[in-house]
Amino acid sequence: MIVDDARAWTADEAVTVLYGAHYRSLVRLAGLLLRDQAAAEETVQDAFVGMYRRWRSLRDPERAAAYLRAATVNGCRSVVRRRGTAHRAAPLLAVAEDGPDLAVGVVERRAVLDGLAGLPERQREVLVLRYYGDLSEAQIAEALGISPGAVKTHAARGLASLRPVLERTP
Amino acid sequence: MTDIDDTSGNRLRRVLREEAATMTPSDEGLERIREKAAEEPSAARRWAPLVAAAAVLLAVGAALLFWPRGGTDQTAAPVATATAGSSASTSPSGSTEPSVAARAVAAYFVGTSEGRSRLYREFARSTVADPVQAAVNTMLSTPADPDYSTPWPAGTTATVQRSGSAVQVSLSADPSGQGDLAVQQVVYTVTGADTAVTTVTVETPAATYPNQVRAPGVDVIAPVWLLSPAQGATVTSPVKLSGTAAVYEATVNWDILAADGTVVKQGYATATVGAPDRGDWSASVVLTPGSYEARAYMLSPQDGRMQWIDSKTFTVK
Repeated sequence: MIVDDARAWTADEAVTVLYGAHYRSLVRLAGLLLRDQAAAEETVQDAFVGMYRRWRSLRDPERAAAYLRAATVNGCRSVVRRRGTAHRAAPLLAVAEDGPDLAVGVVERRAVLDGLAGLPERQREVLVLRYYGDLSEAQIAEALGISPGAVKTHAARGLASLRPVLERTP
Repeated sequence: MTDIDDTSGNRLRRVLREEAATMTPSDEGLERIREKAAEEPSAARRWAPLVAAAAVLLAVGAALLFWPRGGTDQTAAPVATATAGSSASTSPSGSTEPSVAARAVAAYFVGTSEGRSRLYREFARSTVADPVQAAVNTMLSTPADPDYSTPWPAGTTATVQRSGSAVQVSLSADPSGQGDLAVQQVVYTVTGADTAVTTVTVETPAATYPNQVRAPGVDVIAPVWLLSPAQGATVTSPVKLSGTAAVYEATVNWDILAADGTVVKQGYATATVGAPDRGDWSASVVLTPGSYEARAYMLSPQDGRMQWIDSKTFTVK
């Protein structure tokens, strides 16, 4: 039974509630970082397992959500490290590639995503958390374990690098 | 922020959202998480004696220890630490059940609509060590949802034998009707409890079904599942309704009945994919305090009648 007071939730109940609230968006966030949905699902599932084990010390849905974000970003970083640089720019949109019915904007979108994949790790993470996750500077700082000032710097540099390709998108 | 930054940011936001929308997370995620969590002993349990000794100190320490490593830049999250201390100091440490010992296990049960039977899934808690045995025992118990049933007679027991990726489940009684579905109930329960299992031999006093595999979900799983709120749950408004469904045009209908049976709210949700695939669906509904029944169902493409109603009673505080 899911009760109102989150502090009294068991780890099982916490996982059930937070899964409903965050699983899909975290998979998509990880998918944007990894450009590999299967790896993204694995990473997010592992983050939830970590949250399950730490629920005794988390005891709060907001804190648990922050933990999940941090664990997801760190998990993605591990995946990227493991597979090396060779796969980093693998296009997620392989199916659509060069097909005759290429939707308007797909080429531009891919160019932006390729540009994003080529950015330094921190800049890519900050941009995805900010512009897909809609997180505040403080939340991004918490998820990445960096200062809010560093978040600002990484965001500005990342966006500046992408500006030429972004200006070509509709 | 300059105007140029805003324009670039908005473009990036749109690109990321469009790209994200091309990804459809699978609906098996929660089951996988529970399976993975059940695989290894809980790290949290090792900290239990310390909780008794110094709850607040531990909470702060644990927050630092457990916080995922922030890569090379270790100015880790001062905000987080402060929150940990304050929330833990007010938590009723030790007053809840030792949840780390009990584990959630999923078992499948049978529900019917217009004479057709399909499988539904429920989670229950078990302290049985072997995940397959735990799940099978749960399957043989009474489901929490009174609309579900199990075709196995009360008191049926099961022994589980494992040989590599094959499992044999020997049951002490025969199912009352539902022959093939009862076998699939066992197969789905066992393979859900341990994904390394590929074939299940189901043995009853009257028959043996050798090396069974999961039948296609479309043939055995109920088209509409209402997973939240859980049966008997106490929740706050707005209440989130959610579940999975494999329905025509991905449309799941729902309504909320008051204690006197009148419909107080109704609506529909769009699942992430439509039949024959199974998608996630959810809806949010504002309710005043009281007792309610939530129903999720599909409307017949032929004549619009309600089919495959999955219902849960719950209380809004």
